[in-house]
Amino acid sequence: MRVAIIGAGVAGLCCAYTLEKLGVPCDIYERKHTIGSLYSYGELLLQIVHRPYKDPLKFIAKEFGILIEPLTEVKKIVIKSPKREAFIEGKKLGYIVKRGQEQESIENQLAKKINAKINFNVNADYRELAQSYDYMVVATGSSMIAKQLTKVKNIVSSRIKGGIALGDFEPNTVYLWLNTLYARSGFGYLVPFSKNKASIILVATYTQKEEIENMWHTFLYQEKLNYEMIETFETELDISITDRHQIDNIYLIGNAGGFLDPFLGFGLLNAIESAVYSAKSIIHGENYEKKVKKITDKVDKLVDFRKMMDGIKNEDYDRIVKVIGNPIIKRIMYKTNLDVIKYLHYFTKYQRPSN
Amino acid sequence: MKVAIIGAGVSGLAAAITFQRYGITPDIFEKKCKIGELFNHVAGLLKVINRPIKDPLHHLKNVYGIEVKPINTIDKIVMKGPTVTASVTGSNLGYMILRGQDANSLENQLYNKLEIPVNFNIEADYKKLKNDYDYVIIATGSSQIPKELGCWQELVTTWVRVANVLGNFDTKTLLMWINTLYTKSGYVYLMPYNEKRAVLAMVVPYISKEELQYYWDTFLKVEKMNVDIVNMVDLEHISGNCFPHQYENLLFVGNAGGAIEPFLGFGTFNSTVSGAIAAKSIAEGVDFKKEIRFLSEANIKMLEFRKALDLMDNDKLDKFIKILTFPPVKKLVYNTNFNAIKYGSIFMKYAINKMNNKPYEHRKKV
Repeated sequence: MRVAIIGAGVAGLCCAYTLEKLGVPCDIYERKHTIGSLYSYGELLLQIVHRPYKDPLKFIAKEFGILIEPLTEVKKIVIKSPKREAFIEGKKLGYIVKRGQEQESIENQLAKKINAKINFNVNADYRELAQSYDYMVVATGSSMIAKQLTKVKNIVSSRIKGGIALGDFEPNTVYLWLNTLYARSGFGYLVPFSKNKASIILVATYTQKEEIENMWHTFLYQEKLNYEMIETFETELDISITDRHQIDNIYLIGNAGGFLDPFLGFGLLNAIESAVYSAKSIIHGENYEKKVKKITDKVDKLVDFRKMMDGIKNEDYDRIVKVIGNPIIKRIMYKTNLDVIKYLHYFTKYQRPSN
Repeated sequence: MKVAIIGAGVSGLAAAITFQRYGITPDIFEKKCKIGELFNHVAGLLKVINRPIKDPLHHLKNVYGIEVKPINTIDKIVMKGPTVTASVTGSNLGYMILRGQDANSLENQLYNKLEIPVNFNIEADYKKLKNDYDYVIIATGSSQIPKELGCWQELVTTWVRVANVLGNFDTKTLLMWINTLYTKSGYVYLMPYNEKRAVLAMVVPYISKEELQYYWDTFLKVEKMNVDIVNMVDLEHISGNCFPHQYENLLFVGNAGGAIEPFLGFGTFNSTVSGAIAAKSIAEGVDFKKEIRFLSEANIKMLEFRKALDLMDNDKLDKFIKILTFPPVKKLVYNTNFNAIKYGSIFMKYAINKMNNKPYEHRKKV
């Protein structure tokens, strides 16, 4: 059996790892000249988004046999709306995972585990590969190929600007800012790398290239984030969902398969899950669509959250943060393993966005 | 002697290595958490720009003891004007040098020679260091500090878009495009990393960041570039003159010392040299201002070319390329050690005068 994977990102590497573990070698094609995102940033793996799993990393380790070393644990989340502030403390709120070129980045951790040769600097044509290989896995990180093969629905497009800040930070505290002034229906967040280094990122939805610079400065000014910034970067992120995830012998995984969480844009766990499912489906001949239904159900729920959030105003943010700050709510949300996404989803169906 | 270096880029590292050779241990402060520019690219080291120096890499090795390995030599330069395409071939017209995060990048090559630790993630305040150290070398890569001290004269500001592209390339060929339609008086160049990957960079002077996209799109369309773009980054490049190069005990090197020349924006060689000279001057106790004067002088000559280029329309660009690649001129400029910059600048001065005095003559009558 011959398998080709396009893209050596998180999803592509996880797929290669699983295939190898089950005894099937594969060929990987990567456009870039190196593994990992070109700029470093911190990605959040929040437990609350991934319920009912108690611990997302343990889940991956136990179910898929993929061990990932996080940078640190999240022990405190501070949420700030224009006028209010709430915080949540707990032992296992989630993890901070490093992305980028460094040795400890998740991409490099995964790359060390696999033996398959990665062909760098190759822009592989998926149509050619689909003919010459038995199976083709698309892990390109964009919906470009999916758009040519099946129906793709764009959910939200956003522009991201971020950088690494130098200063004094609490190593386990994550900050989240909600303000339509500079993020529209997006958000800003701060993830510490260490005591004196943190990644600050602004995700502004429905934003033009020309606007983001201005919004970034407004964000830093408004939230008094006057740190020394090094390594700033800018990128765009389109989140879409695809109709099908397997077309003949082509499997779509990770962001290429529309598994990105459309609410906050974190897609690590979904990327890993879909990658492992694709590898298992290829080897055992199982139905891939059936397996990823679990992920798409979750994504569909978050699509509704996203729709709600798109109509939100700053007063609503204040109200939400007030509710989150309520001790009883806080207890239910964070001290139990209640599937908040699932139940809040019912709630959003009745709640019309206030226009 | 207590010496500090702010910035561990090319010029900062060159200074540090030179100090090391003299047995001086400087304190090196770097804002970033690692060595090397974030985005990979290939820097060109054209021999013709650095005349009367015969070979820039030999010069670095023989005079400053800094050995740099290029990824390739430039054996062919193809210049594409609005209608004319001309090329220059010759063995070893210059070098291609890798910049960025990779192990064999210039920054990492220099860093590997260094035995002194670098203090990463430290935003050093030059005002404080100034009092604590005998000498502080400013190698921050930006003109901020000399500007604050009134030692900076801005010459040309450009926006540069650097893209990594995939395709089929000849590894020893440098491609250049000039056309006022999409680069104003700037240019586009393509330099390969290897057979499959290259850097495609567009340098457009006197525009704002927002306009860059328009020029880029026009370029791709007009030149029918069918390349696959992997990633892109936009940078502002400021070429300026630093004078004097030393303010009390602060020494300006690299981009902070005006290493980016105003004609084409090359700066790698000047950065390395200025760093080495600063350290050498401190160690040997000679006047840095005198030693580095050639840099300002070279910039002033380059500025004549820039001024001429700024006045050219597409017809003139075509003519310029034709003249440059007219066999006797070509032979003189590229294949001998004729100081093309020095004598060319005199010629350019004359040409500018002519163009300025008859501003409309070059336009065709309708």
